[in-house]
Amino acid sequence: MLGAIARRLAASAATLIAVIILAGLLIHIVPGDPVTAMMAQSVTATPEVMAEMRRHLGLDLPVWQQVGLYLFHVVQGDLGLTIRGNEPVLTLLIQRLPNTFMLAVSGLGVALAIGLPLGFVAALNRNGLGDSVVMLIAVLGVSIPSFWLGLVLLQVFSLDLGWLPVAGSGWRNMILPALTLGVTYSALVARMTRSTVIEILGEDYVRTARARGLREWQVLSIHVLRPALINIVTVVGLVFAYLMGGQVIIENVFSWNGIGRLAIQAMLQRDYPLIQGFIIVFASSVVLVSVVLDILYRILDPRLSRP
Amino acid sequence: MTGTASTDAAPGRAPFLTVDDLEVRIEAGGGGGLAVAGVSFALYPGEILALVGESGCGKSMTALAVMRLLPSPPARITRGTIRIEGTDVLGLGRRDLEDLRGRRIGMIFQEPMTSLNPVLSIGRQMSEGLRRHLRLGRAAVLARAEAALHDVGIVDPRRVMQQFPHQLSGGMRQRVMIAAALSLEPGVLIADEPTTALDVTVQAQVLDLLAGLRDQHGSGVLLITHDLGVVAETADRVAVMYAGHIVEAAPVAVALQAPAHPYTQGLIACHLEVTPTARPVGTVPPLLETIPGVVPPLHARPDGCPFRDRCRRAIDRCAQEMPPLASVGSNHAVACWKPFHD
Repeated sequence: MLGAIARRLAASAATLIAVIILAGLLIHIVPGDPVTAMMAQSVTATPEVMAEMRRHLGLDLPVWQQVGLYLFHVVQGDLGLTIRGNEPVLTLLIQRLPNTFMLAVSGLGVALAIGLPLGFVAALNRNGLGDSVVMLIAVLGVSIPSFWLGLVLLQVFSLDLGWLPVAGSGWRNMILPALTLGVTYSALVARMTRSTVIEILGEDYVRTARARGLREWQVLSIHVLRPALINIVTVVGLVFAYLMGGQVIIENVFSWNGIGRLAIQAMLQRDYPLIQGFIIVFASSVVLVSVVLDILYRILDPRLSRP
Repeated sequence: MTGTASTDAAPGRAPFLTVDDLEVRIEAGGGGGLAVAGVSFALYPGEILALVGESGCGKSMTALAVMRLLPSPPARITRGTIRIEGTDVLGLGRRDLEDLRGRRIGMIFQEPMTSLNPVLSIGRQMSEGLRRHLRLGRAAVLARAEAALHDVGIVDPRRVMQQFPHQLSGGMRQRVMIAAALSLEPGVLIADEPTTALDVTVQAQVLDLLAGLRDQHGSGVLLITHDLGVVAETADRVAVMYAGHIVEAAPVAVALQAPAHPYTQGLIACHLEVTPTARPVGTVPPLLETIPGVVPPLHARPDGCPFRDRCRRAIDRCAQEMPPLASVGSNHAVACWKPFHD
């Protein structure tokens, strides 16, 4: 098992290096010149100043050297300075990362708390009334735009009722964005749980468990849930990785200082080092999640861990 | 129906299981029909009753109905009674049914590959029934589970208990499933094609286990099979099913040597005999007989005897009326208008 994980980590490192190289090439792929963009509003932008600026940023070197240097710095933890503000990119990202992480975890928690039971109920009442109701809720959850839901929740709970603050960064501020995120993703979780549980309910081993006289809750919580977890964990992992890229809309609606807002800001300002840093952080979290998923699969499925 | 009375092996003893006039309907959007069309039989302590027939004849449906494990929808019990040691199974609520299953009536299934949960250890699957029904402590449960595995011929139960289904061979999995069912010492065991998915050598061992269960524990075994070889080797009585009906019921020797129903006779004629002394070296083997045609599908079962289209002896009456299961000798009943007589 440890050997397999070590191999997985080595492969992940290779993936990350490829991502860093691509991020390094980014400046040369996208149209437009960062120095021109930076100096657009500056009155002192003479050609001499701009050339000096280029030299200072290393943009006058051959492309392969620039990318090599970038990789060299990044693996040492140096993601460079932002063009606006001259702040270390890594510091900025690390400041925002916990906010995004907490929002992703709590949003996912809400999604699971709503989606798992709904999915189970739908599967157990397959084609019945419960199923129809749950699937209707799921369709609604998917269809409601998250910015609209977020605004409605803000209006009701923060402005009308005054129960929760409108902006800030305490745990009370996380409730509404987590709820918005959770409702949106609960639909996905419910659908996936439903189809997985329906499939497992038809398995021979569930019939065996019933023939053994187990209580129905034992059959469901052990013989159905355990194998279902393999699929559930997959979806949760993928959603989590995606959420770690930041939730631009929700973070803006709730003035939540996560990665998503930072990334949008960087893009609008053509702050290339920051965009590159964002790409690397996002890719890292995707890679990390897939390693964790691999470990979880081995725990949940003995066919993988004990061949 | 007079089936129960006429197929009794030993009317002096009380049966473990009686099925009377059982009817199972399968709904399939206009194409449904009766998978089990009024089946009656009784299973006594210390006997193996074989339910025999081609696939689609309703034997597995009958077994699942007894366990109340029919896939519903589409299958539904529409008539009849099922009693296990006097308990009316069809009248039970869910919790009482759960108390009955496993403890008083066990079932082992055809597919050892898919009938054990792939993500739970053998130990877990062996012990959950014991914990559930016998309310034993942890150590006692483990001891009994190990003993049950040992009884089915597993030499290192402790190691097997720590393994998972995919690490065991098909024969081992079937033994585990049998051991799990037997550890609860049910009065009735239903074995649905327990040897079909196994190698011939393993088959014989599994059948010995069932015979041992009958002889040592005095349990009743309902053995569901399409294999007359298995029947000859293990069963005490045979009930032959065709298209949802029991068409012949008899002690195994009578059914195999002097079958009265054309279908039973056809089944025996189809059965490949592998006896080395049967044929002198150099002679051509006799052609294996087949019964022409197939079991009519559920939605197209004709009035009268469903076998008549495949039957060489069919007469006009066969098209009009289904013959009742009627006694033609001691413990021997047949549902045919023109049965064979010795």
